[in-house]
Amino acid sequence: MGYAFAIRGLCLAVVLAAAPAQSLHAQSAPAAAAPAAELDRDAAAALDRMGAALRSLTSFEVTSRGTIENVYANGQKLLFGQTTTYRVARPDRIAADVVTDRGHRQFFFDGKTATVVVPKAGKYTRFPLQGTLDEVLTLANERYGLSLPLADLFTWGTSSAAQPRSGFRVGDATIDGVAVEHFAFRDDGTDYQIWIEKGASALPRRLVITSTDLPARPQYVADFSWTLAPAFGAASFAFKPGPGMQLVDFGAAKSARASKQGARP
Amino acid sequence: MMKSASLAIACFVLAASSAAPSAAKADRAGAKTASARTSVSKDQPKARPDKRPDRNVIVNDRDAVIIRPGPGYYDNGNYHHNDWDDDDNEFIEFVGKTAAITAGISVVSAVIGSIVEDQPEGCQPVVAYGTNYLYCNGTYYVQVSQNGTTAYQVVAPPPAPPQ
Repeated sequence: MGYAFAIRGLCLAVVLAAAPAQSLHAQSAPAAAAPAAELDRDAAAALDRMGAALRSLTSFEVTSRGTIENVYANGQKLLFGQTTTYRVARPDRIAADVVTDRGHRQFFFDGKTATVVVPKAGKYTRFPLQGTLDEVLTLANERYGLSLPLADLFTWGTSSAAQPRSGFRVGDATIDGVAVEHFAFRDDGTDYQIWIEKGASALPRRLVITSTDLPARPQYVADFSWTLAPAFGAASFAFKPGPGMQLVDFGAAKSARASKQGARP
Repeated sequence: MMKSASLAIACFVLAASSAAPSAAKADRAGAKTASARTSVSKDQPKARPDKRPDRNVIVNDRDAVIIRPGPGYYDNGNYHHNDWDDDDNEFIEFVGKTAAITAGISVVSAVIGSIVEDQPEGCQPVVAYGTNYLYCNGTYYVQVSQNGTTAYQVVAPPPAPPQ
């Protein structure tokens, strides 16, 4: 009896002693095989080239057709379509039209006022904003929680664009008959890939973002088609509500509440 | 009282709040907990908990900046953030509520100084400028003692963090 315990104890001790060594071995093997994570020169230069190409556009329309994955409580991922169209006239006019399988939103900025429109519900709201297009999108995000898809198009090539932790050139590809180069980048929480036009224009033709900080690693895919120097009418950036559309005025809600509170003893 | 005030505001914003049919079908997989990011460089919420996190979200002793987990707000313990494919009314309500909270406006018109005996729903602890607050549905509370039991008093929001 006593021996049996002793032997069992010994076995346990041996197993325990062996276990750390094994796991150490298992961990070190892939680490040694992983390539060094660095931002290759040609990949960094491609980002710069693309940023400069985007900044050089004073007036453009870009449509992105793509898909977005949502993650649900049971761990399932569902894929939805998303088409985003931006109309832009620098320095300070922007209009976005976002159509998903489940909704339609519009965003207008005319240099002074941002308007968010939900056409199907017949409602819109607006708030004052100021700044460059990149700043306006940042403020819309911070103050109003509006993270417009593909805001990168307005950040790349500006001082607020951060360099990724690592990146390399994957190879050549063709998208819609256009010769492109395929690059892969990694940053905190995201892996992303960009397919950049070869030649002088260096515009992005495809963007894929993988959210690596979420266990399900959902992915967003966007294919771009560009219209350079389009003719925009004056109505392109100033939202004109249709008949029966309702302005949801949060400023009015605020003052109504304030007067109600003030009336209390 | 708080509930009805909250509802009044919600009704002001919303004519009706019925989920789109396709949304209802997607919910077969449970509530949506996350979406893929649609932008690399903007600071989008990294994790999107549908329930408030267990840890204190808000404190940064060094510069007393109030941190939200992302653009969005807590309402009754649920974290809301922008989704371009949310129900239409929820989406526009989201914009307004986030704007209100960003501007430091109480979404729920609780009267400062009033005391409730039970802890409101959906609270998260907040420490700002050395004071412990409970932040519940857009209203700040401090814990007080009333007749020997713990109660919760509505207070003014802590000073806005430096911009």
